[in-house]
Amino acid sequence: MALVLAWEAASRLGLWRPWVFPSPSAIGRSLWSGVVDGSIPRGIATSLRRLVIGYLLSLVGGVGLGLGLARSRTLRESLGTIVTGLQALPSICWLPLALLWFGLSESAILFVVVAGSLLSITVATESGVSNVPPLYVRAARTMGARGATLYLRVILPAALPSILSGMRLGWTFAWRSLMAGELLFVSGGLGQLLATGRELGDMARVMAVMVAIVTLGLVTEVLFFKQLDARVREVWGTDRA
Amino acid sequence: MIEVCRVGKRFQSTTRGVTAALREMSLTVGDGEFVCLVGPSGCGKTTLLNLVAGLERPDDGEVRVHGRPVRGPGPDRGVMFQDAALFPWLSVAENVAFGMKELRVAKREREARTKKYLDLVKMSGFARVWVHELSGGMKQRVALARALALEPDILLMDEPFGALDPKSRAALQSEIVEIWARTKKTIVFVTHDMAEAVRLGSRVIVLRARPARVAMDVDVAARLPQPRHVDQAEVVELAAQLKGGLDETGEHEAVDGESEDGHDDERPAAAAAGGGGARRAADWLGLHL
Repeated sequence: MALVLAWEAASRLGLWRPWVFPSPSAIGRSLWSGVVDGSIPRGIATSLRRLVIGYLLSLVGGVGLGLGLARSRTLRESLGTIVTGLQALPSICWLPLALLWFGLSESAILFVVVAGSLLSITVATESGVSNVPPLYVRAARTMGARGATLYLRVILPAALPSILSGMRLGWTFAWRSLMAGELLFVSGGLGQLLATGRELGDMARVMAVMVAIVTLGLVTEVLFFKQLDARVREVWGTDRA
Repeated sequence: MIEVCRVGKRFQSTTRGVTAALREMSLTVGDGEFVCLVGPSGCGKTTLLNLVAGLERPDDGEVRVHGRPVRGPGPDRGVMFQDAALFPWLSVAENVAFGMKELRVAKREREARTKKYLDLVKMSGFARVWVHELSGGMKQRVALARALALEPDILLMDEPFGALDPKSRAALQSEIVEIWARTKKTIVFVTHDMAEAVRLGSRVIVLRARPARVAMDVDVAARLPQPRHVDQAEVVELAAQLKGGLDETGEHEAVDGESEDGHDDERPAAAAAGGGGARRAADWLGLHL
């Protein structure tokens, strides 16, 4: 709070030109007008929809692929290196190909989001599943667990703490990929609002959108991941370790 | 009835090639017996138990339970390990109910049995508690309830009390004997602690290592009625006799009553290595192998 006040004061004193680094009050005004004219809520809605769809696809695909990699040697040998390699590739690099394959469409941007978050979930799931104590599986088998239920009732729950950390990482990667994609090719969403702000030289608007993004990030963290994490810690007793 | 008929089991190890954990091993356990398998590390006692549990397949011979060959693990044989192996993402009651859910036991029956067996192991107050909140002894009690809840005729126990403090161990020892007497289950109990074997078993089978074979097969029930205690003179004496008998026949590994290696590694690779490098390393570390 003191930081914001100091920033405001410094802006008013004219230490720098306001269009380079706008004051908090200017950002606040821009944010408010964006909310009132509906552009920011619309942008949030568009971006969130893409984010949620892309993320859910990644979650399903990533957990599935991670499970496969952990349990199948063939899969690991054929795909392991590719997965590790692609993980290092910023997902926005896929955009040219995605545009070629899907055109200027929702699918293209979803593809970029999935490319951004899928592999971090995959890698976390693989490591979680590989580290499930074999004794859990043996114990479950002596109680009649087999096949799919062994996975659903033992292996996945046992790997959950690791999968959860991958989910968190995947969520932030999904955001980054989405913003990069929306900045680069215009089709609604918060990224586009950023791009227009830049084109108009309206830095207050740019920073207002940044504030909106940070707020969304905080809200999902507090409402969703923090809760989930706290629950896992309580159940497993890891907060006392 | 458990029949082990001329069973052989080999393991591939990267350093020493193929080692035989069991060769031509045969033994029979009758219904309602409480058999303790005792022997030095690497004598194959855990392998034998895993074969009966169906967690491993024999390379030669056959294991039969009630006349049928064992093809895999099954709820007719409850298993307890040295580590309780409770699932940390489930509560105590959910852990006990795990197998019943797997076998599609109706909900009401499931709840009734969960309660019954938690009562039996004196853990009824802990149904809703998470696993990490339990002590080692409590975890083994729950693991016992979990195994009993499927109402198997046979209980296979692999050093279940090996990692417990002496007090919880003594308490669980009396309870398992009591539960055995009350439920008439067949129990096969693996331990490396001779006094524990003599204290618990109606029959003690002493195994010798490399190659694994039965050294002694003692009907303890005929000599010493329950209740017994580990510090009881007759128990100590019989344990010492059996230990002596094992040493006399040219076996120099101690089958120890109070050794510090409560976690002896029973995997054959490690056991095989025990003769060479690991043995020297252990000597160097001053360990008592």
